Amino acid sequence: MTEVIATNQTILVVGGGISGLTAALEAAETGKQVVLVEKRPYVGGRVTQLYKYFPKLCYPTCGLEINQRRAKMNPNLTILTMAEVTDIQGEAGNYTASVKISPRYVNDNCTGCGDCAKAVSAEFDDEYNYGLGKRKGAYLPHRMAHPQRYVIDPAILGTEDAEKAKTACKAGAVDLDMQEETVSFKAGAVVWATGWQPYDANKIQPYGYDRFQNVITNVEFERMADPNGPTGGKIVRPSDGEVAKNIAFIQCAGSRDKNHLLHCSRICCMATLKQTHYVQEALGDEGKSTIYYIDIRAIDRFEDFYQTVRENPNVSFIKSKVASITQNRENSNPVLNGVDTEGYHRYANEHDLVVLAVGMQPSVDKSSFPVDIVINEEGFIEPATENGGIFAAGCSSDALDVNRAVQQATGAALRAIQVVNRVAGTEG
Amino acid sequence: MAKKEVSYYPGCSSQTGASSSNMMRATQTMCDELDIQLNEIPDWNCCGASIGYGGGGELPRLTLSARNIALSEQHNPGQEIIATCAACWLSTREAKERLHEDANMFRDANTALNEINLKLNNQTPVRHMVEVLVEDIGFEAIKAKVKKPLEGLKIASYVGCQTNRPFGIAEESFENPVYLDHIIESVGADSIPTYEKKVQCCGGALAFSEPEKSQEMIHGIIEAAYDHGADLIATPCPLCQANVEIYQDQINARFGSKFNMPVVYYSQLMSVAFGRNSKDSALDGQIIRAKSLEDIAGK
Repeated sequence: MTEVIATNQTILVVGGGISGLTAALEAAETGKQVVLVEKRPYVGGRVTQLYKYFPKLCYPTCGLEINQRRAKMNPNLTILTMAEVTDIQGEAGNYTASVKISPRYVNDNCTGCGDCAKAVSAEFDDEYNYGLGKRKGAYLPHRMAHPQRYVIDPAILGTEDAEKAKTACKAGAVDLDMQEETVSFKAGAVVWATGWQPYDANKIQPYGYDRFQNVITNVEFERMADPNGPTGGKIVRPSDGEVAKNIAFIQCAGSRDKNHLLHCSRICCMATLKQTHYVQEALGDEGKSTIYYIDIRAIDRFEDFYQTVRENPNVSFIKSKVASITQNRENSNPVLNGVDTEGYHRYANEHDLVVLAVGMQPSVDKSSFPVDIVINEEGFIEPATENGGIFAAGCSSDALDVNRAVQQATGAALRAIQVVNRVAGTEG
Repeated sequence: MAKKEVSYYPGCSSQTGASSSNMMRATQTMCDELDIQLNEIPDWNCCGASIGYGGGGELPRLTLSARNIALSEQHNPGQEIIATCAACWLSTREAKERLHEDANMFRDANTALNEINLKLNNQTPVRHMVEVLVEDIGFEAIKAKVKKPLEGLKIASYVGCQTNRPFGIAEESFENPVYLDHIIESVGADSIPTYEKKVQCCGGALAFSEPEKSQEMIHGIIEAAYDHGADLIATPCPLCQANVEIYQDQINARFGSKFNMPVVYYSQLMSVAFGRNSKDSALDGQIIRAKSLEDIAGK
């Protein structure tokens, strides 16, 4: 049974992505008690799935390593993984949270040796790679996962694989009888950091993500560019595995569109400009990138990054919202149809691969939110006094890049600290 | 199964003697087999179709269909209006929805209808026959009725625009609707899920005024069907059927092609598969004969 010791001076952080992790660490390092609840089996969220950051083109693993070390060293921080908040009752300074913890079937005896994964054979779509690759039924979600503990997929329970995994474990860590449990505990303030999800590309029907294999999303492209990813860092066409040399990027795929997301997702321009570097890096002068855009939103210090990409002769820009994608049946090449607004030329351009720069959809669901909360028309949590002691951090509050999400999360941590300090003051 | 009674009107293109009267005949046969009773709206009028947008204004256009709905409410009370023609469905459903949303327009339409002693309540659901097949009857029930499966036939599903936008069939993708593929499979034929011209414009009424442009689009629709090895094209829409079938000679002359592709309605496929003869299935209404269907119907 999981035990959580908490009082109404404890800060509950919901979501362990880069924003939640930051808020939790900042608060814990001021001496506050913090409980971090994360739905995935590991912390770090979508940042763990990025190949490189913009604008410095450095690796997210670096910052993650620092944060994970901070987490391991801090006795004030309790991390619950595979856990979801199901209810919150009360008010600022006196909340009670209910948290459902799904069984991992691996206890903390796990040494991360991987013998269980070697023993099992059934394979499943790998969530970490957005389904581009496969993983086993006993698996470590990714190489740097924290906690560094394997997970048993409930789908193998009752099969031979489950027994094989149990037998293979020398540390006695595989516990197939583990049950789902619900714990409740007190909290004075809540930092809500459930982040974002890539906008569902299937909904942008004219782009044919649901029917053309060589139309992928920018988050999938991140995994493809990663040397540890499903293609070993090769940029290839899903239809035939050939190297993709002539790549189109479509901006505002689902963003700034009243049929989809109203807001500008802010990250997609920079993400695409960054991804043209991946193409250059992988293919040199053989790799050509074409960016179809409404306008490029590379604000303040990102302007230099944009100008550098502009100067690359292997990258071209077409000012156009692509109307539709069709497919050349001979070679499965996507054909982009639309009008180039600079000169008003109609085009039907064939590419090897299309990357949809899909936008950020907030993962805040008002209808199932545990308490009343003010959410704006775009689906983000407003900084409203009605929210009491619940403060949004990162992409629960707005479409933000990592840098701004982390700054915003630090601010949210401060808000939460103010509430629990007030409680401490009254309780004296 | 209890008999389902619905209110309907054939519309201009499917009325007796008109170009797609064969669609009505096949629809009637299909409905007989599925235990659906079609009750015609007495003295129905033109839905306005595309020409209604060209002149006359919004109120007269909507009132045309409002009259049909009012007549249906009076003569076929309690029955849903089920459109068999794609354009009738669009116009009637649009009228119903607009008059529902706009209280002033609703009042004005009723003022006009009052002159002929009609009153619109606007409480009648307006649906397309395809919705009845997909939602009320279901593919499994259709499959169960099949006596002569259309085995070995490869059929391109050409959905066109009017049953697809703006309303569409619930849960379907606008760019890649699959209900017609499912119907084709339910009657034992092979569908072509990757047929890329499913929702290509057939030119609509512009087939008369802009033949060059329309025929280029129609050429693409037929060529893609041949490329996929199709024996037939099936469609739910009278105008799609007419445009894709009847201009093939002109298209052959213009493009040097040798097209001779039968274009039929889903209701004809179903009538044949349900075991009915060529006449009941209205195969005699084709300009390009659907020999393969005739053979199955004659067996």
